[in-house]
Amino acid sequence: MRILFVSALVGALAACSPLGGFGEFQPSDGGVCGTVAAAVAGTWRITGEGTRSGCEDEAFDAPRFRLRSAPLRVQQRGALLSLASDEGAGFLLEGRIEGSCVTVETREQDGEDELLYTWDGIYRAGRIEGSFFAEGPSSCVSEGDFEIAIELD
Amino acid sequence: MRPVQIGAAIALLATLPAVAVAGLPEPVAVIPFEYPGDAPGLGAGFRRLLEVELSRSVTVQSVRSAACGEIGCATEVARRAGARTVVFGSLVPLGRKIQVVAIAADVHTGRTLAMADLAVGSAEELDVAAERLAPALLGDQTVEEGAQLGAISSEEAEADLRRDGDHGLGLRLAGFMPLGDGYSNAKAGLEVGVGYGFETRHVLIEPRIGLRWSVDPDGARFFEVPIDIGAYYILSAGDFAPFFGGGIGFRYITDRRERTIRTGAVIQTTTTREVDDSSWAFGGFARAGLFFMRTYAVRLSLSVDYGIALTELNGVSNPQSVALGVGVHF
Repeated sequence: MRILFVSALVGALAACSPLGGFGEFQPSDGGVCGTVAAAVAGTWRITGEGTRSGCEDEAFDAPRFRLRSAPLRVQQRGALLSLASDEGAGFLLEGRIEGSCVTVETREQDGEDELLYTWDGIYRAGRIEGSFFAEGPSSCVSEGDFEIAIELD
Repeated sequence: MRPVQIGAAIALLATLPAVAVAGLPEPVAVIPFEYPGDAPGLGAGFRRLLEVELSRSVTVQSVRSAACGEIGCATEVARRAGARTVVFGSLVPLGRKIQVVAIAADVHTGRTLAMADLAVGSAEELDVAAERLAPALLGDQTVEEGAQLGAISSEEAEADLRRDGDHGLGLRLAGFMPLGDGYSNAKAGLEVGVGYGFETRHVLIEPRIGLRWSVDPDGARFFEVPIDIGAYYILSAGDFAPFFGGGIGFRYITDRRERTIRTGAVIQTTTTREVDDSSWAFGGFARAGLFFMRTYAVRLSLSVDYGIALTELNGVSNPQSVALGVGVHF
């Protein structure tokens, strides 16, 4: 009975999406990421660059663009990451940290368009570095590299 | 020959009247010229002017006489005064001008020795007539040969150019300044244009074609080909003539500029790229300026334009400009 209960619990946890429809996070390889979640709560400043293509409005196609975020207050509860304050503008941030591996999704309303970013990176010495993938505006698809400077709480 | 005979010969030569250096036997008497107009003293006044001019070369015999336009009475008056040549004539009003006819005749034979005539625009130019007719009567030069700066009557002067209808090529070079964000948001450009003007005393109509391009150090680039027809009102018929007017037409414009594309507010991306746009457009311009040397075969102009094109390029509506240029008109 106890084994069944534990199995059911593990299965339920594995099936549960912490972002309520944002998407599912796949647990990373514990050997790369480690098992102890790093402390990443604080003020995040995201910078990066990437490329954008496939836009219905060709004006948005960009062989190269630069990326910069406003300061984001991020809180951490165990392995879950979320915004500590309302950034307004229909902006949502949710993420998960496993060891030093961080996966975050952000969603922002930009006029009539929605900008959806998925950030995958590794925390190291106060910074998260990795790559991102984005959809929007219009039918644009973007990808590139990013760095998050964290001012720890 | 004995000394007394030489002395007699010299005395005889001294009594003979001098022959005119220029060909008229001296002395020369000038009779008042006939003038049928309203100024009765005009003929006598011209006689005095002609006497002064003739006296520079020959001996003039003063006579008191009424006007006489016929050779018979003229020679009779001169004979009584002891002159050998008589100069007489008439001032004939012909519309706005006065035709001056002068005749030199031998007093004793009645033979005409010289004749000359000249038209002047008014009585104020009779001094010019006397200055030109005197050497002509003396045989020094013809009336035409006597025309020189300061001795040209208004009837001889060429009609001022541009006071009758005329037409010719015009060239223009201008510095061009876009207003607002139009024309690639450039700061400056150049313009050259060629037109063909049809001009009357106060009106100029000129179709033209031009080229405009950017000379912006920041790299903004535009190119325009305006094809217009302009009409101008010329305020003066003199050498310096202000004018104003304008025109309409079509133009082909290209606009290339750097555009910064941004997405998002919290997570913002920024990219800069060149965007191109071009179109044909209906447009117009207003111009004001000044013609220089307008009465000569080639004249210059200085003018300032305001222009507008009715189109949208790269999101900017109705690009406008101001140009300052100089023109050469043939």
